[in-house]
Amino acid sequence: MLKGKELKSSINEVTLMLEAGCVYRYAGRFHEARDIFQGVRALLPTQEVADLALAGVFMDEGKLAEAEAHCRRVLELNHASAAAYTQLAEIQLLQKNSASARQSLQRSLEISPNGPTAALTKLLLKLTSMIESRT
Amino acid sequence: MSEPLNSNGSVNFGNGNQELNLLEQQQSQLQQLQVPHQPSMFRRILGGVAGMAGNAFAPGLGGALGNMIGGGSAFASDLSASGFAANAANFAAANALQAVATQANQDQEMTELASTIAKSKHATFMAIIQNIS
Repeated sequence: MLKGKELKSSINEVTLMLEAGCVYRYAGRFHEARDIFQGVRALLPTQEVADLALAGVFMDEGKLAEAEAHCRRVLELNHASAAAYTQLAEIQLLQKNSASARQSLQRSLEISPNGPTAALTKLLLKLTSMIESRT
Repeated sequence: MSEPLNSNGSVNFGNGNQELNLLEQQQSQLQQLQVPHQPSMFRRILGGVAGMAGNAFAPGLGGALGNMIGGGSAFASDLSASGFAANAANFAAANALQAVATQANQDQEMTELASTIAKSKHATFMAIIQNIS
């Protein structure tokens, strides 16, 4: 676990690792992406970013239970994580649970109506409405 | 001078009698062929067209309207009936096309939304990465 000055000097490296993990994830190389994000999680256990990234990888792999577990872990760390609620809503949509997804998205917007996740949250709300209108 | 009598007692005029019979037969055939009073061609066509137009607004009404204007002729009735059938077929085809167009629009909207969500997910995650402290 990084502390103090060591943490500050390593932030750039961690950011680079996370971006590399994203590249692996988008390339469909989920095993490598998971390895990288688990490494970041070991370095920064109190940050939510690694768990959110891992949830995204598991979601892409179709392992929704594991993805949801990572989101729940983030919410244990931070009850007011708008990003975690938004990620959880996406998983719930894939689980065909649009009612829970809507609740999670509304909670996310309550926490952060204008934050970095707000745009994605609003888009997912629109998607939820479209899905509900089709069923 | 007395004319010779036929076996049925009628006067025999020779060839003139045969011509008279032939004339009566022709007249009888003409009477059979004669159709009762029919409306003019203009009215029949107008009735058919009115039938089709009427069907466009109220199915079933067109047939009655066409018959009324066309004088109830078989031609007008057929024309309005075929107009009704064509109108119903057009209506069904238009409905099917409308459904296909709506579905295509929804699919396109969904595809665009999925693309926008993918971009937004990346942007959101990059923002989270940049906010690591």
